[in-house]
Amino acid sequence: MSTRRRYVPNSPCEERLFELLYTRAIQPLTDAEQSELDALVAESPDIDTDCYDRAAAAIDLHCRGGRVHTLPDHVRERILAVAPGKSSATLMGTATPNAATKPSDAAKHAQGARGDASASVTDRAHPSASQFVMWSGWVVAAAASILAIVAWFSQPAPVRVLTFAEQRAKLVGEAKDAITLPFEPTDDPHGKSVSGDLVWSPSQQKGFMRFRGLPANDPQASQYQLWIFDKPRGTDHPVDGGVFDVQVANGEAVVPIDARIRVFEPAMFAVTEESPGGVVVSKRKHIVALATL
Amino acid sequence: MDVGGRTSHAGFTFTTMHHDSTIRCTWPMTVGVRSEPRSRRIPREPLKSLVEPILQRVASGEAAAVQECLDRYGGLVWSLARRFCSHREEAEDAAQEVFIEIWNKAGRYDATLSSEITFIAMIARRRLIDRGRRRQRALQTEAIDDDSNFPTDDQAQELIDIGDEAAKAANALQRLRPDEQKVLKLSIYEGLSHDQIAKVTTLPLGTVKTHLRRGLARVRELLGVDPATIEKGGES
Repeated sequence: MSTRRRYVPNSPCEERLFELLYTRAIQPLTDAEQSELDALVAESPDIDTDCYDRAAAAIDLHCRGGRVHTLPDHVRERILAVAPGKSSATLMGTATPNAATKPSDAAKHAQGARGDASASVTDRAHPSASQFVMWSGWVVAAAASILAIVAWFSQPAPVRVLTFAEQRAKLVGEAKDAITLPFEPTDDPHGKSVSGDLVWSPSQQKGFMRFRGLPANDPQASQYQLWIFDKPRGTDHPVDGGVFDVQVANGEAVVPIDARIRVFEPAMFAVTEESPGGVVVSKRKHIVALATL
Repeated sequence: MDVGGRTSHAGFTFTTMHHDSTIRCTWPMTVGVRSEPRSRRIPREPLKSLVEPILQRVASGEAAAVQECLDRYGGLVWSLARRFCSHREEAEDAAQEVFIEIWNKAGRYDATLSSEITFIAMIARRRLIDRGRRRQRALQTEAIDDDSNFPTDDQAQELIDIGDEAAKAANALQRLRPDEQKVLKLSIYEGLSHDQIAKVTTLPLGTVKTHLRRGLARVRELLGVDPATIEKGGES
């Protein structure tokens, strides 16, 4: 677990680090401050960088007093839909068909209606009424059967969330503007055996990466981060395409691209290895995969 | 990436929650303040929780744990997202983003440092505050926990166990001066900027900043995370 247990600054740099950590706990940092923080954290790995955030969270919880808004069902389902590597059948539960709408039950109801109608036929004292009852019984039974059949066939199929691989295949098949680029290995020790490809749809601002040979990372030590070089933004300001982990050593991994802002004209996609949580500005020391247009 | 300019944090009104909403308790509730003996400020053992820990299971990739995590902490994350976002759609995006972050960072949870719920609240707050930076604009300045931007079918509430650190935070806040307590609450819970707090409290801006910094540092110490403080005997 965490080894960052030091909470007292030992130098002016560390004082500045604590200043930034304190600021981060209550308000957004500027990009420059975030970069500075990333650099200072890298220089002081034994500092507990969560200490102010933890204190703020505790105060927030105390002030809240335990009362929270219930997460709406549709938001819950939306969140579960992006749970990595999870089966929707397990996560979302299986839909149990409403027993009352099963054809067999409807048929029973219809049978019951027929039975009532048949009994009514014997009522000679009021032939027209009996006839009405008889016919109405059959009508009800027929309507019930039709409704039951319609309901049976119109039941929504249990929702199954597509895996990333399936979502990728869907994007390739459906997005007319989807581009597919091969990943090239790099000189980095972790990038020498990398292969795979990347698919990106400019109109949907969506894409997936598929890797082979990218070593599994320890999320507590480092994480992979995608950078999208967008022509209008220049090479100094690549778009953060998301932080991800590879858990299967040298196996195939499919990773969704999570572009934080709109990408207008992608020119290159680069995967770097960064500190846990990713960085705002990469030093580009460990480039492990490249895909170029 | 190319975002810049300090974004001022929020400008929320002081609306508090008084809804005729459905209240349901999802698990045993422990709300309140408990004094901790000073000798126990540094947790040597994992903090006890009323519920079984779940993040380790999430980190190990157990599918059922992901769902349980959402059941257990969905309300908290949703409430925080509502507070930091002015519109429902934005709050939904934010809540989803927070849970992705939680799943990614579940393996980093350290039970000796905090309870799970504090860890969750910390991840959520950080992500939500960071959205302000990433979006190149100030966090929304509309009402905190004001339901006007959320449909009426979204007002149900529930009670949750807020964890040991919240009780310690309450204890720590009680030791601060009333002005300091107020400034901390206005900043952290109500989301007001320094300037707004100065206006509301009529305190000089410098005093607001000092109160905030001192108060948060004090709470940090009293949460039992400052060995130097313990060595000195606690109170500073």
